[in-house]
Amino acid sequence: MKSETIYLESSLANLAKARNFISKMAKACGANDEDITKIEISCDEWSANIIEHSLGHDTERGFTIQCIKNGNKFIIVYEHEGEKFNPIEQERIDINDHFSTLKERGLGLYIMREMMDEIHYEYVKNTTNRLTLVTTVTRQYIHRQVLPYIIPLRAGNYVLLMVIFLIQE
Amino acid sequence: MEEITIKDSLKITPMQVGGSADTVQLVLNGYLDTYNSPEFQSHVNSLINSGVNSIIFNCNGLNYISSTGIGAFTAFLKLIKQKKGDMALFGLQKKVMDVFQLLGFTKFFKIADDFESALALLRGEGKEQMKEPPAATQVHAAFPIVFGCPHCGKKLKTSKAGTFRCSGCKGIIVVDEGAKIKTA
Repeated sequence: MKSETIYLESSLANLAKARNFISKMAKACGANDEDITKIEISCDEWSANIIEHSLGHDTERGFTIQCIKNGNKFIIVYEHEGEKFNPIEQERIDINDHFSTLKERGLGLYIMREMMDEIHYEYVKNTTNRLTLVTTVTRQYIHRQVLPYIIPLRAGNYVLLMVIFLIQE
Repeated sequence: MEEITIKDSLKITPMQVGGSADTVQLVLNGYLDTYNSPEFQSHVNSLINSGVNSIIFNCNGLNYISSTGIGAFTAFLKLIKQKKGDMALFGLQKKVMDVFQLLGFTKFFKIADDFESALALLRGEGKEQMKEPPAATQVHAAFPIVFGCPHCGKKLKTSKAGTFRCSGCKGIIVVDEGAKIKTA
């Protein structure tokens, strides 16, 4: 399991930094372009939500984003201190109604729900909001290294050569 | 109309189209997200309110758009329609087009491949960029799909048709070529 974390101050100017970090990590995990777009847009929605509605553009405060690769799962964990801020409690929007009335905002949680496989929320120790987004990545950029090993085995007057290929991803 | 840069993240270059004062091409360079959308929206709204009622957005240099950015385009569409005008977009990079498609917004906007096609669309002459794949490829384009297990409701994902076992309840699930889910 590989993991990296970034801390960002609560400013909308940091949205691009958050996107760059997450897409770089997703790419390193072998996610394909479509998966990266989905991950990037979902995380962008949550980053903007935290800054606008929970931390209130207060640059003295901030949030962390941890990206974890676990097999073919790409897991993004957001944490920030503050009052309980649970997106899962929000009502589901009627997307047909949303489209037909050409509403301009309110799509954030819909996007996250549609594009991620799992969303979990915890309020840790009554101080920290933790949102975990999980998605299965379809591998595109697979970096494999094939390591051949030759092992000589003696059997009577014969020497057998056993060749083993170890595939390292 | 002058070129402006919003928050060092989005450059908007206006260009007049065919000597007409009410038709403008806006060349966008950079990204459009919650950070810069309000100013972008306010700038374009003031253009529309000043009498411009046909806008062509040149998106060749637009490398990212969030749902807020798409919301800004939705707002322009509403405003410009009220003024009996219209707008079109062209040159969308794959990533930007993907976001429009993922959100299902391609059906609301006139989207073309190039400037001439966008202009023709505004004049009611042209054909839009293909938004839906041809019928023969639609089955494959439906994948990957995310669906709830019909046995236990666990969220699952598959990139192809076939018979699968749910990782939660171990129930058998059949996904057909049309991405329809059945129990075995």
